[in-house]
Amino acid sequence: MKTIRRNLYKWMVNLHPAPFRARFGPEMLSIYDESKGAAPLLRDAAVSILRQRLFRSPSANPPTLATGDPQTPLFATAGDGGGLHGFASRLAVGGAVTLALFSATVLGVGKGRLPTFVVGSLHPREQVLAIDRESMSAPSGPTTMVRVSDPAVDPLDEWAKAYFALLTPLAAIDRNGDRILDPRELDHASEALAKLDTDGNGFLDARECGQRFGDSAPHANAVTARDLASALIRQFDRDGDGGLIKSELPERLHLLHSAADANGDGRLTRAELEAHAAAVAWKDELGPTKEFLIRAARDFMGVQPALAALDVNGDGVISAIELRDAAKSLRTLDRNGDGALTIGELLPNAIDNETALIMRLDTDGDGTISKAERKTPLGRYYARILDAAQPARDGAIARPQVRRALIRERASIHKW
Amino acid sequence: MQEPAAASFQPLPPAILHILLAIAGEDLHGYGILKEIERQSEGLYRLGPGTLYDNLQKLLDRGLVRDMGQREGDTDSRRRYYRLSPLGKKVLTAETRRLETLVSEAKLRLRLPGRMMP
Repeated sequence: MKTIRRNLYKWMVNLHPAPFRARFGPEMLSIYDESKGAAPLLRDAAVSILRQRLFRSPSANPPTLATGDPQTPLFATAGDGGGLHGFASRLAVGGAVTLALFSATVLGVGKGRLPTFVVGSLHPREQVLAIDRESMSAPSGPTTMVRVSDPAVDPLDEWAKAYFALLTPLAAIDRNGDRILDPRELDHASEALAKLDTDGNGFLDARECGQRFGDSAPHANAVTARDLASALIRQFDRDGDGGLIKSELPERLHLLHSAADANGDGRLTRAELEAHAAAVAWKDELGPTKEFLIRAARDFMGVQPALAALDVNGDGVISAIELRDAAKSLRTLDRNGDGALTIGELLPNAIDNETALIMRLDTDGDGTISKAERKTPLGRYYARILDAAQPARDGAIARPQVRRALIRERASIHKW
Repeated sequence: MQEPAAASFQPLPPAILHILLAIAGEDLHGYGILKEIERQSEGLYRLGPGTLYDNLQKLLDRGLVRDMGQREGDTDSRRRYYRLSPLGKKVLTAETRRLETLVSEAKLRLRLPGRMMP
């Protein structure tokens, strides 16, 4: 490469007019050989060629000192050899020299061979490149491979498919089916959502928004709360005392244990189990109670960010007024401010949801979980999180503290 | 032939001034002139060979610089040495005075410290 650059410089020196080249050429090469960086010298030589070719007349005699305007400094003229005489022809020569330099550079880069660049696609398709068929079917393949990464696969895309299929409002608003709610689609959100009001009551409930829980009719061989209590005791009562302590139950049922242990003695009796099953979910036969369904519907509306945004007052339904303001409400989810809602902005956040679940301990609605409110089955179940949220246990715990404690817990589990 | 007045060369372009100044103390070859200019200007002003020899051509043609030819025993036989001619010295002296006056005027107007020229 060093030799190529020196040869290029030598060639550029030779492009100077003969008198100049004869007089200073060897010295210029001598300086090149003594200098370190080639780039500034090559630039200087290129400028020098143009200067000598355009403004210095090789045929002109050295100007006599007697000539010239005495008021004009002798060094001030651009072309003291020939002025601008024959400027056009010199410009043409300069252009030719520039072209020659460019060609020389290309040849230099190609190490003496004019490099060939064929740009194409190994698997051309008209949809990808709007090129004519002849060029697509050229027998020779591309000589230069430019590897483009595979089309970006958004790991959230599979989630998006499932989520848009679950939440009918999202599918209704997303008219082009790209699982992105763009600004135009958001503008027409109200009309799109109104079509989901299948019962024509003017508002959307959880079922119309995609909730499927409780759809199935009671099972023909439904078990009663009594059957359920018996089954649990039969399966897990290892010491045969007719009750269940927490250590007898698998971990997944510990929440049930805490919730059903009405007297808080740590031992679930058959009566407590039956009462809990009847009160919370089960009546005489398999199937949720009306209260349970209402709460489930409200939870469903509350944990889905899009539905929670639409249900501004949090009453579990999207009213006519809330439907009218749908676009405005949905745009509150646009965290990055790009005007569109992507799946990342629509999917529920596990931490936020669990925080909301824990904050249900706040039965007096003052926004905090008091010491008394912690003494419920759910409070006892979440004791570890609540202790972490407020180690002193002597005051009310607010939502941010709960959220931070949950994040810390997840971080310790997943080693974030 | 009558020697032109030193004032007829003024003001000197920066490249000319630096070249004359570089060879004012001793004869130098092209590379030596470039290095001396770089040293004098503390690296702020640099010439390439093309610009140097374009200006040297003018200086030689006008008699401000003399070509002293090659030196015996030089490590590079391609080197030629250049010397400031008496006319070149007069021009450089005149230009130096002009610049001194200019600097004095500048100091006076800007109220900068420094000795005023007579």
